[in-house]
Amino acid sequence: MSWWREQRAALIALVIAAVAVVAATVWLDVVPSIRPTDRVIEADSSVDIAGQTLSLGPSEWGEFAAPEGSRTLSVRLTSTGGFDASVCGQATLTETDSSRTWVSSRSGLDVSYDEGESSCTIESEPYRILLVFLVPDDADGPFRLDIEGSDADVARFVIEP
Amino acid sequence: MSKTGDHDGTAPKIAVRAVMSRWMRSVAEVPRWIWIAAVALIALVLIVVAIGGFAQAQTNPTELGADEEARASVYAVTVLDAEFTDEVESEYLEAEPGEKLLVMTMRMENLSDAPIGVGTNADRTKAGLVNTDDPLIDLAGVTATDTVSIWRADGSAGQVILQPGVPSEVMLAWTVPDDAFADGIVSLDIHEVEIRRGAVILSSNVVTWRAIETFARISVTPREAP
Amino acid sequence: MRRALPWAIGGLLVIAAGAVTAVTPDDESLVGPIVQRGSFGDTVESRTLIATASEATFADEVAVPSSDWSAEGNWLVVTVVAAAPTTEVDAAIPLATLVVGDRVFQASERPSASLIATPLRVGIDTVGMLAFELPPDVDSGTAELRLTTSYFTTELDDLVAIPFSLDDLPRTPSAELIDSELVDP
Repeated sequence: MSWWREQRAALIALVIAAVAVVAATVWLDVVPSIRPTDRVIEADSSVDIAGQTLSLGPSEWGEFAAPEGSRTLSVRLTSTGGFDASVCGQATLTETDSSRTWVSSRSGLDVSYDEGESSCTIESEPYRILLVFLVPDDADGPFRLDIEGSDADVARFVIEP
Repeated sequence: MSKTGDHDGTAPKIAVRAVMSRWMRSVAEVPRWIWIAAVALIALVLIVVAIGGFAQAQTNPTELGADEEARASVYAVTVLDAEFTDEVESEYLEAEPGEKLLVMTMRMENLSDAPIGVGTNADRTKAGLVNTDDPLIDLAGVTATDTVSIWRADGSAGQVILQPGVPSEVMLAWTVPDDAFADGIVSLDIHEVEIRRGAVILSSNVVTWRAIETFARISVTPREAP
Repeated sequence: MRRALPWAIGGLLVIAAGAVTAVTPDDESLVGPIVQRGSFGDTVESRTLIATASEATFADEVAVPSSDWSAEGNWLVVTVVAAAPTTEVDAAIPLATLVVGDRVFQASERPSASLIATPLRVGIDTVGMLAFELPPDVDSGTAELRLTTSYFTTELDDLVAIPFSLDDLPRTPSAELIDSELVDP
C-alpha cells in the first residue's frame, strides 16, 4: 500500500493523461465518422415523403420480359404531388430473409413512360410512379421497399406479392 | 547595483577587463588541433561559396521545336501540330469574343510504371500534367483564361489516361486572349518531375508528381485556322 | 565479466530493436487490400463482387461497331462475368487493373463499350469486356487482373485478383467489343 501512496501524484497524472488520450482519440477520430442514420418511416399504405404523399398500389410479377432465371417485379405507387413536391433518392427492394437488395432500374427493359414516372418528381398534380425490379427466380419475398426522401428520411413499405 | 550613471563608469570597465582577460586565457588553452580543424573548415566553406556551390541550381532548358521529343524521367511529350482557332466543333468548344483557342496535337508517352491521367487523377496517382497550379506542361508567358480541354483526336471516350509505355496522340486546347502571342511564337515549359509517395490524411498509397525545374522549352509557330 | 554485462545487454537490445523495425509492416501493408485470388475461369467471390474471367485474347485492333470507333495497338481483351452478392446499391466495377511484372495498366477508357462502371445486379450475371492497351513488348509472362468495386484501388477491403498467363493466349487481327448485357444462366 505504501508504494501506491508514495506514487500517488504520478499515478494521478497517469490517469489524467490516459483519459486525455482516449478523449482526444474519440474527438478527432470517432466523432467525425459518425454519420446520421436515416429516419425510417414505416408505412402501411401511404406515407408523406419528399413533400408529397405516396400510396402503395398493386405489385405484379413478370410484367416485362426478363432473361432466363429472373423475373421483374413491378410496384406501382400513386403520388398526390403538391407544391412542396421534390425528387426522391433511390428506391430499393430488400428481401427480408436474405437481406439482398435490388435497385429500381428500368434501363434495358421495355417500359414506356406512359406507365408512370421512375421516381418521385416535382409535380403539382397527382401522378403515378412505376418501379421495376429485376430479381432472380429464387427471390420470393416478403420484401421491404425503401424510398429515400429528399432529407434523411426513408419511407418503408412492406410488399408481399 | 545602482542605476544612476556616471560614478559607476569605472566599475563596469574594470569588470569587463577582468572578463576579457579570463576569456583570453581560456582561448589560449584550447588545443592546437582544434584551431587547425576550424581554419580548414572555414577555408573549405569559403571555397565552396566562391565556386557557387550554395547557389540554386540553374539549368538552361533545352530549346526544342515541333516534332522534337522532350523526354523527362517519367514522361515524354512531342508537339506535332499547333493552330489558333475560334472553335472546335467536335468538342463543343468555342472561344468567347476577345479570346481565341490554341489547339495543339501532342504525342505523349508515360514512362512510369503506372497509368497517369493527363488532366485527371488515375487511381491514386496525381500527375498534374495540366490543369493544376504547377502543371508539368506550362504555357509560357500567357495565362490561360479557362481550364485546358483535353481529348483524343480519334473520338475515344472518357478522360484521357496514358498507359505505361504506350505513346498516344492527345489534343489540348488553351483559351487565350486574342492579342496574346503577338510575334506568333508559342512556348511551352516542360518540367522535370519529383515523385512523392504518401499523403497524410488521404492515403499512404497516393503518388504525387511534383514539377521541378524546366528542362525543355518547346517553341512552335501555330498556324491560323482558316 | 561484470563490466562487460551492460555492454552485452545494450548490444542485444539494439539487435532486438533492429529486428522489430525489420518485422514492422510498412504503410502499404497497413492499409493493403484483402486479396481474393482465383484461377482464370473460376468464380471468385469477395464482399462486394462475384466475378469470373471467362476469356482473354490479344488483338491488334479493337472496334466498337455501334459507335463506329476502332483503334490499333497491342490490345488485351478480357471477358468478365460479374454480379453483386448482396446489394445493387453502388454495385459496379469502376476500376480494373492488369499487373504485368512491375507495371500496372488500367482498363482503357477509350472504348464506349466496356464493363467499367456498368451497374451490376444481384442474382443475375452481367457479361462485359475489358480492353487493356499494352505496350508492344508485353505479350508474354504472367499477368494479374484486379477488379475493384471502388474508384481507387481497394484499401482494407476485398480485392478480386485473377492471375493468368499471357503466353498461350490467341491473337486476333480485330476484336469486337460489345456492350455489357445480362446473361441467361
